This record gives sequence, C-alpha cells and structure tokens, in this order.
Amino acid sequence: MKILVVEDERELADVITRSLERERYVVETARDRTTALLKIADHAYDCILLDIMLPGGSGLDVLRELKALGRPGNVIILSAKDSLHDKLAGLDLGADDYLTKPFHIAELNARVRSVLRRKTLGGSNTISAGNVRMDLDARSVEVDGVVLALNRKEFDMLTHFVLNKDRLVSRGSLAEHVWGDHADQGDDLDFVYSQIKNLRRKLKQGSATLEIQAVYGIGYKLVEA
Amino acid sequence: MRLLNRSLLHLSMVLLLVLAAWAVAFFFVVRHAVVDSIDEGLEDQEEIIRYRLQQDSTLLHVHDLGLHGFAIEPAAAKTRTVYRDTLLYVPSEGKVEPVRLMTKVFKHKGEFYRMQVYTSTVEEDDLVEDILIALIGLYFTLLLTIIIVNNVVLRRVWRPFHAILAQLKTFRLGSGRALADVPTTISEFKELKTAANALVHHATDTYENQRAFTENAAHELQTPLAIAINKLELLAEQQGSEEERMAVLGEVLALLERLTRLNKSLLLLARIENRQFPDAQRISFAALMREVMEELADLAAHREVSMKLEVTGDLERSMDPVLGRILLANLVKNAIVHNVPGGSVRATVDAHSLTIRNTGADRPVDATRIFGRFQKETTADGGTGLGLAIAKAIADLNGLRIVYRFDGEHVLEVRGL
Repeated sequence: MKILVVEDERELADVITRSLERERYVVETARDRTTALLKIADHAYDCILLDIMLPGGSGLDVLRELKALGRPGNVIILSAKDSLHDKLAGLDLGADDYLTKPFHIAELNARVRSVLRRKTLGGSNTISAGNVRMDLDARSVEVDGVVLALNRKEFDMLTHFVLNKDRLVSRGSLAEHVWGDHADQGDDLDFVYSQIKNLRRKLKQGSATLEIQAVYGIGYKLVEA
Repeated sequence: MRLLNRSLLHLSMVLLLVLAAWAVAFFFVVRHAVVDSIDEGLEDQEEIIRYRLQQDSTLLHVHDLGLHGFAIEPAAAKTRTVYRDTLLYVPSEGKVEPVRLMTKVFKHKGEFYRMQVYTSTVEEDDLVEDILIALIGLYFTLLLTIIIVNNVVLRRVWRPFHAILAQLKTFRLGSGRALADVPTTISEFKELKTAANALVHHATDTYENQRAFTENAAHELQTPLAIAINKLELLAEQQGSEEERMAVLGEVLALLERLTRLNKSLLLLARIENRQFPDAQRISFAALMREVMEELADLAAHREVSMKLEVTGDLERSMDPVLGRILLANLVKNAIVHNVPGGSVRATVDAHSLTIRNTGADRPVDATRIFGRFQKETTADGGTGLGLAIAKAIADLNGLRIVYRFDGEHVLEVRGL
C-alpha cells in the first residue's frame, strides 16, 4: 500500500510518516503544491493525505488535478480550518474524508484504514483482529462466529481499538471518537474508564482473544492475548 | 463646502426669487396708487377750468389740447367720464410724451360740452427702474446682514460642535481618556454630545474587554505550556521506571489536550462573534435537549449525578444546528461538572423557555461574572472557563437570553427576548 503525505509542516509530516510506516505502508511526502502535482502525475497512490494550505497554492488544486487525471478518491484532507465551506468544497472535489488539525494519530490511522478498506475490499466493510470479526455496516460483532452483543458506544470503542490494534489509543482520542467533539469538555475524561470496564467484561465473557491493556496515565492498547 | 456658505447660497437664491416676486407685485401696487392720484389731479384741474369758465366764456373756444393743457368742444349728449393713457405731442416739452387723458362731458348754460384734460405721467420704464434699483439695494443689504449674522452669531453658536469634533478627531482607543465636557444649551449639540460619549464609552469598554481577554487567553495558554515543558525536561533527565516515564508523558498529553480544547473554544468564540454560522434551521429544543443529555449520560454517571428531562411544550428557534447543540451541551455540562456526587440535573422545556437546574454549592455564584470568559469555580477540573461564555455568545447571536438565579439550586434559564 502506497501513501502520499502532502503536508508543508515538516514535523507533522514526519510524525504522520513514522506512524504510517509502523503499519507497513510505503509512505512518500510532498511539502509543496508543485511537488505534490509532480508526484501524483508520476505515481498512483492508494491513499493521499492532503493539507489544504500549502506553499505555492491550495491543496484543492491537487484534488482538481487528480480528478482531471481520472483518479479521484482515496484522499483525506487535513486542514487547520474547521470550516464547513472548506469541508464541502473538498468533499465536492472528490475527497473521501476531512480531518481537522490537531488530530490524534489513532484517529488518522482509523480513517486511513477505512479509506483503504473501501478501496480494496470492494464493498464488504469488515475488520477483524484475533478471533473477533466486526461488520461495520451491519454494526455486528462475532467472536468465533458467535454474535457478541455490544451497545453503540462499546461498538464504536471496539472499532477504534481494532483499527489501531497494537497501537496506543489515548483517552482523548477515544473520547473524541466515541463521544464526539465537545469543544469545551471541561472534564478529566475519567468517565471513559467505566465504559472500558464494561467492554473488557463483555470481551472476556465472549472468550475473545483480545485484551485491552491500560497504558498508565495515557490510555489503552488492544493486543492479542 | 462649509455649512455656513451652503446655507448662505440657499438663502441668497431663495431671497432672489422672493424679491423678484415682490418687485412685480410692488410695481403694480405703486402704479395703481400713482394712477389714482393722477386721476384725482385731473378732476381737480377740470373743476378749476369749469370755475374759470364762469367768468371767462372764451375758454369754450380753446381747442388746442397740446398748447393749453385742455380743450373744449360742443357735445351732443351726456356721456360717461373716460380716463385713458395715450401719447401726445407736448409743445412745451417739444416731444411726444405719455399722458393721462380725461374726457368728460359737462353742461354749461344749457349746452353740453366735452372737455379733455391731460397731464403727463411718469414713464413706466422710470418706475420699473426705480423699483429695481431699490430692490437690488435691499437684496444686497439683506445678504450682507445674513453674512454678518452667520459669521458672527452662528460661528459662536457652532463653537460646541467644533469643540466636540476636535475631541473626536484626537480621540485614541486605549489612551484611557473620556471626552471632556462641552457646555452647550442647544439641544442638537446636547444630543451629539450624548451620542459621542456613548460611542466612546462603548468603544472603550469593548477595547478593554478585548485587551483583558487577550491577556487572559495568553495567560491560560502560557500556564499549561510552561508545565508541559517542565515535565518534559524532567522526563529527559529522569532515570525512573518505564511506568513512571509513561505517567509523565500522560500528564503532558493531558495538558496538551487541554490546550487543544482551549484553542478550539477560542476559535469557536471568534467564529460566533464573526457570525460565521449562517446556516439557520428550525430547531426543536426539546428534541435537541434529549440528544444532548443522552450524549452526556456517561459523564453524568461517572460524576454520580442523576439527570432528568421534563418536556411540557417545545421551544422552537431558527438557528445553526451546530451552535444549538453546543449551547445546550455547554449548559448541561456546566450543570454536571459544577455539581456534587449524588446530586441532580433537571431540565425543563416548555413553549417559551428552557430551564436547567442543578444541585451544587450552597451559595449563589456571582450572576454578573458567571458568563464572563475564564471565570472558573475551581482550577482543578481542567475546564477552560469558556463554556458559559460560549453559551452566552450563542444566545446573544440568536436573540436568546440566559439568566442565572439561585433558589437553593443553581438555575439557568434560556428564553427568547
């Protein structure tokens, strides 16, 4: 899987690259509009992470170019601007997803996985880890073929964990993914803990081979037992 | 063009029209009076001739009108007396002159005679000329008077205006100066003064608020940044176990997440105040409240706070749905966070208002400060102190009012203006 990261901020491009390489993707970076346009003209990428505000022009030009080349899609826009207008413009030009900076690495990971899955699996929207198989469209979970009953939040949490298997998921990332982006949360996020407890119990009762480990002070990690 | 000159210009034009109309009317009136007096003079003349005729009947044979000033000839019968303007050669003047001619028939010793008497009249041209000269003189006298009055009196009258103007010209925000008082008895200038003062106060208040806000925001950003840097420095030299190092990392992450929240809140406030939420939809507060409480149920459960919603009617409002959700979420979150374990949050929605009451501290919060920015009850909860400020900004933008009161419980009520 080949991914292009178009991002002018070197540190951020670096962090994203390192995180994606851990998932065994081939990652290339472009730090301005011209380089990005050259790269997409020469290679076909499975997924492109695209910053909108670039030196030398808008990232939306890259989207237009992709569309002109007849290879739209598989683009996730990364933008500092949380503006509905930009979002709609990007999605109109064929972007698949829109992520507002700052974002959690786990969230980016999940979005990349879901874009790639849509591309490769041709419709069947399932993910699996250990003996757990999740159907994201039907929102059902099976452990060794046996249905495991989870409520909405538990399902969302497990999805996030499975998409970030063996990776650290911070409580902030989990809260944002499951409970939504409350601008002024004003809380210590401890309430996530009781939900994790329930999910752990259910996984154990269904004899799943997955375990949610606590990473002290930061968050959690899903590993195969 | 200065106001003084502009009014002068208008006045001079209007005066010109009025005086022209006046001149025409005046001409006719004067002419009428002159003709009347001439006619009377002719009658007198005629009476004198008739008196002389009694002693000297040779006068009956005077026929040359031009030479004698009168002429008599026999007439057939009595006719009406006629006055007429005509031209006549006057030998004494040696030229043709405009004259007023009276023709009258009288009886003398049983016979009718027609007598003609004339007197030369003033030429109309002369009359018009005289009137014109007089009126032009009047016109310029009036203009001169107005100019003098304008310059002397009005200049003095306008003095407060110029004083206020000069102050406004030199006014600078942040100089901390209010406008000096300008004494005036003229109601327009009093009004101007009041308006200028109100404007200056408003600008100064806004400026001070903004300045305090910037300072506060910088401070709020500064503290977690400083702590995060120090913790990372400690981590760099720490020899502790993996677990201890992770704990420090966790603390730094939490700080940075707090900064992120703070930053998002500030951006949101700026966007609300810049009115960047144009998407208005019909919103049902009852339905939205249900969703928001559902979303925050986990937080409430964690804080051991029970939540209850009572709907007796539906408050509907046209506003941006994102903002509507943030408004309600911030109010409910505030009620959950500033609560006590075992406490309660009760929300009521009726057709006119939305009320959220919660248990908490036993004393009321300062109602004037509760919606201020960076007003925090405690520093421990990791909140940004912007939640209610954002709620208020949203309410203000959408013509809603939020009021706080304390009746043993803390009550926040939202209603339309």
